Amino acid sequence: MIKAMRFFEREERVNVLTMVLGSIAMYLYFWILFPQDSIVGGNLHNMYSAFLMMIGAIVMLSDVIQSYSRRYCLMISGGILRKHVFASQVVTQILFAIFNTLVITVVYLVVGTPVTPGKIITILGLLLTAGGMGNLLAVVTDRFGRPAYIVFILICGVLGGMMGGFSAAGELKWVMHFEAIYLFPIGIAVLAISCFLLHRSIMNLEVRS
Amino acid sequence: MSTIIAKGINKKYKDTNALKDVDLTVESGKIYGMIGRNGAGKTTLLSILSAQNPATSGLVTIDGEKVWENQKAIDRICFSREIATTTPFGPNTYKIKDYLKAAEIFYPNWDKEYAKNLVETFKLNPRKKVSKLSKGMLSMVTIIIALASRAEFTFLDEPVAGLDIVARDQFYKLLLKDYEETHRTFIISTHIIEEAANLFEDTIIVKNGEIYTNENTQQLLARVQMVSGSAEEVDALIAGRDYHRVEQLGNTKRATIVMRPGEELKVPETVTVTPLSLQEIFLAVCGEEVEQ
Repeated sequence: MIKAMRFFEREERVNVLTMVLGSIAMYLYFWILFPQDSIVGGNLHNMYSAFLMMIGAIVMLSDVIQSYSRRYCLMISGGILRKHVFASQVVTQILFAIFNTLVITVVYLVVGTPVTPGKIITILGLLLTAGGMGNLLAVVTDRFGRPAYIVFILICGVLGGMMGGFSAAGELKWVMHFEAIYLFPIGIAVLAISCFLLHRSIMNLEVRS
Repeated sequence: MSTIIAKGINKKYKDTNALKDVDLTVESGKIYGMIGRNGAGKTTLLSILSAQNPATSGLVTIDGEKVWENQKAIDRICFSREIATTTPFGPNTYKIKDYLKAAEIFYPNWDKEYAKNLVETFKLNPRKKVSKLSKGMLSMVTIIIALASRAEFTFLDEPVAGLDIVARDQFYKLLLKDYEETHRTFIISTHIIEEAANLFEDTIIVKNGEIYTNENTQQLLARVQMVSGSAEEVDALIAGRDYHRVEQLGNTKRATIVMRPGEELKVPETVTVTPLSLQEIFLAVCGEEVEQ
């Protein structure tokens, strides 16, 4: 298990970097696009947390597909037990979600946005849902191949478009309107169901290279 | 002495029986050559022996302990297999150094210094992406991982595929040097039989998902021979024996005879007995269906 975690720790550095650089890139994009006197432009520093959350969610959605396409086979052919591959993947996901939530919380505190426990739990719930969805998409893509992948790209496109639309209208904070009591259990449930399927899939995975 | 024992291994892929009731014993301290036609089941068998893939039925043990999902057992094995340059989602973006770093994490006896030396020997650029490597260079990476893993049981799947003659020679020398130093077990699957035959202490021939033979190479060479003479004489010799590749031209006939272990072939003076090379034996045993 330690070997598997060490491998994932190396891989996750890229994800953390993607999250930080991606959110900075989004911030700069909005900073260029919207003047300081506009609603979005004037509120940009408050929106940075939302950028972090969005990029983090996208990373969590796509990460397991990356794992499926190259990491799992490499790990198993390197002598990592399948149960350890599965366990380390899930632990990494949860740790990434917690880390992302902490970073978002710190950013909230730095920019002076009020933070409540409910809000933190909501963010964590959202990220866990994204992770669970990523697991499901990876399992489905592994089972049905490229068509499923295309569906995934389309879903991401639609979600991205919606996010863009919301942010342009200054309503990106819609996510926060969810009650923590709903989103967190949803995240846990999605993650649990997806983990069951992911475990089955990893145990039956055929290593080909 | 350590041994890997496979008993009753079957592997099914949908309608295909890739391995049929395979029994195999691999003893420590030997270099095994695994030969067989494409699709014979060599890679499948190696991946099951190393617990990389599950068998449909059967059991693999190492010194009596089952190998599947057993870290202690798996830590003693390295199966360095072909590296894919593409994934279902595009090119494989890992670099050579990523593979080496991963191997450093995975293999308990990983020899970092040796791996570094081998990278220099093969003149590889560790910063290069595997998707940009030639077939030969990819083989070099798998060789480096196999040798530097220092695993007690090391399996290589077609390690010389794509390598030029100089690099192949380099590999054979490295392998022998390593073997002299460590005396660990190697199983090398290859299609370049003639070149590698001298390395193999034992030879495993895989034919249509079954083990045709697993025996000492010299013993195999001694008991498989070609006989040629009149049709009647050759027919009398092959009767009741395992024989292959029968060819007839007029009244002259020749056939490859597989004698039983320890059996001595008594032939009339008019019959010629010709020893065969390992490649010729392989052709005789596995080339029949093509000729038919």
